[in-house]
Amino acid sequence: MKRNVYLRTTLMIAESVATRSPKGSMRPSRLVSLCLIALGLAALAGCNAASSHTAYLSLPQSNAVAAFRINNGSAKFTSIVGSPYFTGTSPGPLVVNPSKTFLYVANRIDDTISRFKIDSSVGSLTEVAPRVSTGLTPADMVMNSAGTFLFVVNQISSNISVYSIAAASGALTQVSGSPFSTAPNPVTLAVTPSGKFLYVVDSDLALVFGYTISASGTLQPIPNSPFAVGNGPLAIAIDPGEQFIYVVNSSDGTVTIDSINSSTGVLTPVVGSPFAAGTTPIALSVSPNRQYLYIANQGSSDITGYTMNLTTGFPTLITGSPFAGGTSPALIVSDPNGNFVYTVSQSSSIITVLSVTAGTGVLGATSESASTSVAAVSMFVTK
Amino acid sequence: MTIAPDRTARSTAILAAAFSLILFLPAVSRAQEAARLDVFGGFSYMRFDSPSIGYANYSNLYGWNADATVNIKLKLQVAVDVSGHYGSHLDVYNYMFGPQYTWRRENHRFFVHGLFGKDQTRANLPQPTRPYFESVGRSYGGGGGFDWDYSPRITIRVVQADYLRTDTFGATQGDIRVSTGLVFHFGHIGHRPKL
Repeated sequence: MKRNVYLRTTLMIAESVATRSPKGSMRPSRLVSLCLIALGLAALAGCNAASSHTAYLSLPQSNAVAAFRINNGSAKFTSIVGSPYFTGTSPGPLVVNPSKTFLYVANRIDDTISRFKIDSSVGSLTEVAPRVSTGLTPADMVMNSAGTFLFVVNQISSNISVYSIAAASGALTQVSGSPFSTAPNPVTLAVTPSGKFLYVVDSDLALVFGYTISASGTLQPIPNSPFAVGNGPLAIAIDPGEQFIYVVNSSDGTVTIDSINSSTGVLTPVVGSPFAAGTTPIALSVSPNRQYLYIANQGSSDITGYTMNLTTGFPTLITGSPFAGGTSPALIVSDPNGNFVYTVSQSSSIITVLSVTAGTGVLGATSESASTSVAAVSMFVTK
Repeated sequence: MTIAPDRTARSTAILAAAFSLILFLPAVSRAQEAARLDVFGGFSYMRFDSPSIGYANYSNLYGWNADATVNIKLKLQVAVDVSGHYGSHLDVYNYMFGPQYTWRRENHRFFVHGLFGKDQTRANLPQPTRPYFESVGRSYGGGGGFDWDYSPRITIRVVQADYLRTDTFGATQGDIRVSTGLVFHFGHIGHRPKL
């Protein structure tokens, strides 16, 4: 308001002086003055915040994490200064805590977790020593929505490491009883938004193991666990409303959809599950509004899109699906505002940006993309 | 004691009006002489286009600006301009030179200039292996200013404003720089008007 008064007054005076020029035209000196005033006011006025969020991708070939800032409106990717940031050997899964102050990266050959402090204004990373030990080959990692526990599934040692997280320092401490045993060759895991249940995907056995999470972070198997899924399950996602769980079965080319019992965590296949995906589905993402499910098909280089019935869990193919989604997409992540979907190709090291049509979920090509120079194996997008 | 918002706004408007009136005072006569060398030094503000290198917002940087201007003719000069601006995460230095054109009046003058040179940007983001990231790139731009004579040897640079394009960290930035300070005069060219 004050700035507006200042602007109006100054411009009125400038206009008045210019109009009263005896020759009826502005003198060069006055023209220069007007330009200077305009420039000065522009400097005073132009300090607004850019609306954006950040994305981090692990690059095991470089032993580093790439960082990008993404414009909320255009989805333009801008590399954050200093990126990529060095990690341990062969970084894989990564996760940012809800307050966006720390990034955790699991180093799959070191069997450690690196903790990075995130600069709030820049988004840059600074590693905080020491690194914390995990089990053998940490394959995936998730954090509960409260940011109090970190869960790591260790593929070779076939167990789950659970860490409590110090609120201020972000330091990790293994909870009592951790690591917790699970079946051989677990590959990925997911935690429900309420933080009550944890689900671990076993690729060899084509099973999902469910656990109840106690207040102290210890894990107890859910009754009737494990639950059957299709062959070669590789990725899992949970409906933000905590009603459904989605698992892509890469060998079958399908997606399993189960409903979640909110009290017990027991999984029950929805009618008609599993549902068709493309060739070698390898990753999936649920839109923030829960309405759309997108599956990255690495074999057919496309994206299968479903509209979800949030009552029955029954999916309906989106008109036009499958959509082009870059070359052999290996990762797919929804933009936090639900306006875009990002896919990552490991063969081309390209991040492709697809637009989401509101109301229909149809994916469209955009002119935006970014490169990571080497293949990325994990991507985390902040809200 | 609190000041009503409209009163504050009125005060700001009066200040703006006074500032503008000073700028538009009619010239009485043209000066026929100039110093051989003008040396400027003063305070400077820069709005650095840091979103271009991944920052969430523009960076407000504060520092200094200095230039030396050689008067080739009464209206034509060559300026050498250096500046340093600092913030919590960024240090930005500009080293530039270029032509300058001046309109002279009895006790004040306006100038415009074009500047070309180098920019050195340092992002103070400490890593275990290095204290900061640094990039040096091209810098160019233009702007102008208004000087008001305080004495024969000292002039107040009321304002100098420049728009600068810089190429650092693989991106192009559009920065705004506003400076103020004192100009000192050395030597003499032209002829003094007869009294």
